[in-house]
Amino acid sequence: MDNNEVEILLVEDNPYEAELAIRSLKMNNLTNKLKHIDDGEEALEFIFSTGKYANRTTPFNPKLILLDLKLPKVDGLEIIRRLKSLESTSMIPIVVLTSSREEKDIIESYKLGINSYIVKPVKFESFTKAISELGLYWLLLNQHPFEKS
Amino acid sequence: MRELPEIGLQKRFIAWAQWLVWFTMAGSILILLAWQFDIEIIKRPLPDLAAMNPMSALCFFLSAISFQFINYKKSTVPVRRLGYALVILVLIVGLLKMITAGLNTRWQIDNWLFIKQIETDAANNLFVSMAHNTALCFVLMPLSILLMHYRPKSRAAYFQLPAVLFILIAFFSCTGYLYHVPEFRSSLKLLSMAIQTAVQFIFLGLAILFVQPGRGLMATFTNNLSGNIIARVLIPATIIIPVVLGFLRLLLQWWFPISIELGVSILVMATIFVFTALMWHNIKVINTRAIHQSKTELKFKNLLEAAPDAIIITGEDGRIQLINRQAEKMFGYQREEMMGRAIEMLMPERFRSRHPAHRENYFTSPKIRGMGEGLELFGLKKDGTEFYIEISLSPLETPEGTLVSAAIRDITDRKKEEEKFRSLLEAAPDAMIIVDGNGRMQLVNRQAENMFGYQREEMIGREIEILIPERFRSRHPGHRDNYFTSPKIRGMGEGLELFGLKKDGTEFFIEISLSPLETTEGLLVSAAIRDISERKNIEERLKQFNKELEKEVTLKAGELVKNEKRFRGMIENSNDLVVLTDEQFKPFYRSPNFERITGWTLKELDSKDADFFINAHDLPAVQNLQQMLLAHPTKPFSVSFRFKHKLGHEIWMEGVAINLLNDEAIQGIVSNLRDVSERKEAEIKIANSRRIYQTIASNIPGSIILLFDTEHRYILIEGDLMPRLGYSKEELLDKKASEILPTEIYAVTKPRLDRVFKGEYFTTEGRSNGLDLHSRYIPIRNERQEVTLAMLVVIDITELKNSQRSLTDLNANLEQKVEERTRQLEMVNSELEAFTYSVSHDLRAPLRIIDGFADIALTENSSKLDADGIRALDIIKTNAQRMGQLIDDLLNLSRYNRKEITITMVDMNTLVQQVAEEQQLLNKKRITISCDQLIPVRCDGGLLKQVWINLISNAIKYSAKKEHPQIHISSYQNERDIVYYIKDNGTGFDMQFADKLFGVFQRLHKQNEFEGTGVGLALVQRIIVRHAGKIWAEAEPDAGATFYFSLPAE
Repeated sequence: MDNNEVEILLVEDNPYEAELAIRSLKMNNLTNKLKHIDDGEEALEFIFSTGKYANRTTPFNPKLILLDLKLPKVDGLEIIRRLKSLESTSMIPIVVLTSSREEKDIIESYKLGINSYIVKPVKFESFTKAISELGLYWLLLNQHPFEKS
Repeated sequence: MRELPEIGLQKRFIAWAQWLVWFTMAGSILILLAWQFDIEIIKRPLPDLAAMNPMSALCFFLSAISFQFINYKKSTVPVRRLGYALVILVLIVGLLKMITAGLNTRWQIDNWLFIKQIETDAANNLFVSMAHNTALCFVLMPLSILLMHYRPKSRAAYFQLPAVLFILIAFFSCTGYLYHVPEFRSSLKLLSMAIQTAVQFIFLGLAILFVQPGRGLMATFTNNLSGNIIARVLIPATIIIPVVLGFLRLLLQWWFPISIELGVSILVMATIFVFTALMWHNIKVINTRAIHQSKTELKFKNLLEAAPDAIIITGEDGRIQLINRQAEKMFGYQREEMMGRAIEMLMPERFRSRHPAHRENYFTSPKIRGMGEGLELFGLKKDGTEFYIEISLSPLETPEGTLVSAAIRDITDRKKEEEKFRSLLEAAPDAMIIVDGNGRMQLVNRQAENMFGYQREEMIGREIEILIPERFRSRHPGHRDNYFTSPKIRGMGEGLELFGLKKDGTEFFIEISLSPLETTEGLLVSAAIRDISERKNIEERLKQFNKELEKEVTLKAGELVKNEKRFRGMIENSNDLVVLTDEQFKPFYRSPNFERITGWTLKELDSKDADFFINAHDLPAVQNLQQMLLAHPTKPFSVSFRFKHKLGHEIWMEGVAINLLNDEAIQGIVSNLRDVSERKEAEIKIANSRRIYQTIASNIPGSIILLFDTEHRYILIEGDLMPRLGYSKEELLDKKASEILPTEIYAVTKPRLDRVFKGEYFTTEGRSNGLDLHSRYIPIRNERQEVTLAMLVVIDITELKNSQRSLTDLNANLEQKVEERTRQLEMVNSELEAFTYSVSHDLRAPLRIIDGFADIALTENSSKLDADGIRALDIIKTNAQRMGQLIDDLLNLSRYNRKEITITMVDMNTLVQQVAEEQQLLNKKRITISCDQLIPVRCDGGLLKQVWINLISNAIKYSAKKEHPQIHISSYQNERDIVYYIKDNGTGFDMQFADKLFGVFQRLHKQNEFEGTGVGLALVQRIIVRHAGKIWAEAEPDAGATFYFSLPAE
């Protein structure tokens, strides 16, 4: 898949968690343009087309970032802070997808400007349902500011 | 005897007249009403006979009214005139009827009223017109009323003639009706007066006669002579008896067929019998009266002769009819010479001509006139001498007319007395005034006239107060009354200075003597009044002169006295005692104030030796002094000793003594002493209190008390602290601080002392010689509020300071420890937070992965799995999920534990309703949740919401299996708390496990019965406990459970 066509960026360090999320999205055929990155630093490089992804040219994607908070190197909150502080990236919808239901995290995330905060349910059916619904919502229903429709 | 009216009877006649008139008036009104309403029985009481004409009724009414108007005593002139006008109207009606009847015209006055009824009756051949005799009566009756008050000189009562006439006419008609005279229905129809008309004529006629019972015919009935008595019986009898007997005779004829002759003879017989009986009765009555009268006459004659006064009875003509023996004697005539002659023969020539007129006057209104009333009268004796008489007159009513009885008394002697008294009065040198009980002057003499300037006539009969100046007048009647109640002779000049008032308004001094006079007219007071103006003037001048003289004398004497007084007062009133003694110290003079100051009299002092008075302790000193005095003449020595006061206590004497034995003027030892007890006592008191204060000051442990004067000199040092500070009392006392203190210390002390002398009060603390000292600086003021002394109180507070220091150390330690602990606690807390965070995040993730891949295995590889494999994966999934749930619940619990509480007033009703609705929606089965009005409470709404969520969901969970699950929520308030409770009828539990109810992970039911982690109630308990509340439950297995929790009401 071309890195320039990525629509969903999934940032998740746990490979099994990532697999479960991807499986859930796949059920609704939303995984065609999904990119999974398992550490924070790399995620930033991808978004800002630096380092490993310096050859990336598309400035506006992805259309949605699914972000875990606990990440190696650069954690989720830092990523949000970085993205939201720049005008060019501040408009990318970020959905926090995490096991933490700590109020502290929720409040901090929203303060930084995330678009949604999903606590991953332990029960897989619920998890699948939640992931597919949010994928559908953000990619198909939600109107992206730079998307030509 | 004279014919006199019987007053009572007359009054009765007048009353009857009133009743008769009222009857007439009422009758006439009744008949008019009968005409108006056509009542036959009243119009015509005897059928087919004449009815009373309405015009007649009107005439009666008018006559009756006019009668009342004319005769009513209080009627005014216009009312009387109206009465006469009305009666003239009646007269006109009568005359008109007579004329029209005579002319037989078509228009008749009596057809004027109620013409229709009259025509109807006439058509029925009934007689309704005014009869001719009625018309005649209506002429006669008004005439008599008009004439009623006509009183000609002849005293004839003309009005009675027409009255009697029309009564007779009416009476004739009545008799006619009584005797059923057939002519009234035929030939005499025009004369048929209606029966009511006849009766009313009789009534009104009698009223006219009765209302003036004393006049004309009526006098015959109402007077008091025998003839009148006979008339009263016989005349009515003569009228009534024949009528009655005639009627009886006719009745006999109608009932029994007897001949006219028999009838007439029976009538005659009855008449003779009745009248003879009446006559006989009358004769007896009159005889009895005659006997009684002759007895009275005899008694009268005897009385006359026995009277003490001369009595002469004369007739109206003034001729003497009767005299008694005293009258013969008085006037010197024989009885025969006086009888029948005019009374004027007994009075002096000059009065005779006027007397008949007096007599006639008296007869027109005869009344009793007492003795002595009126004028001075004179009698004339046969021998031509005149004498004073007094006459009392009284009328005597006799059948022969009014006589006058005159009782005559010879008052010549009394008159002479009076004359004598009067001349005495006139001869008196003083003004004399005689006053009666009412204060009216009865008699005054010429001097009184001259003195007051009034004429005698102006004074007699007037009140004595006119002779008194205005300002005394109001009080005088009181004085007068007092005098009259206890009269006694009061001589001239006794009592007050009095003033008289002359007619011309000038006042003058008078002197009055009073003496009571008992007279037949009651008590009189005779006042002798003397004009003392002259005397007063002289007295006044004398007084003035005296006064001036006195003034001068006083002035001169005053100066002398003043000087002496000054001198004497100086010695006697001063507190200095002066004693002069000889060389043996025997006193030969003591100033008199010794008595006042020592209590002893001078005599008592002289009687005892000095040893007795002087305190034994002081004696040696005194004796020593005596030696000194003798040794050193003219040298003053001060002396002081205690002297025994008479009351027992001692007084301090202090003074100076000097030997002046050689001084020619004195020749003695002079001691000038003074009582100084008070001062001495005060001195002693001060010394005592000074000792007390000193003792107190020096005995306060760990302190010094210092006093500085304005120069910062130590003037007092007391207290046990001094040596410890390295100073001694002795080295400091009376030294200036600036001199004795080291410079650096004085540099500190000086400004402080300066502050005190400016009036400041303050304390300082400091260390010196290893001691903590608390110093208090106190300004001490004199009576002018100036600071004259500075007090310094120093207290050793080393021990206090030490303990204070250790306490501060302890506090600092404690704070440090608390800080440390807090830090530790915070660390633990944050560790815990980190822990829960990682639990939240890191524990859940593996569980999700387990569940996720188990699911994937089940869904994507189910075909490869046998039943056991599938079951195993299912169990893995279930437990993974359960663990997830447990973690969530635990996190919840810890979160609520840590969450800060925000207290607001929370409306429990809204909260519970909201939660209940949510919970009901979550449950499939319809469950009734009833809720009472809940008491609002101050709490954290968010946390309480969690409480209610857990409790309500619990209640739903455990009662949902019942057929009719019921949940009830309510609240109540007790003293301190508000208690809420939720009651369900679910599974309940055994109370023996109630203590496990609120423990974490404690469950009373199996997982496959009711799902749950056992955290919900633990969470509820945490929240309630954090609110300082309590939670408890009551339950029974299968009978439901009630969960209570209380929150503080404040």
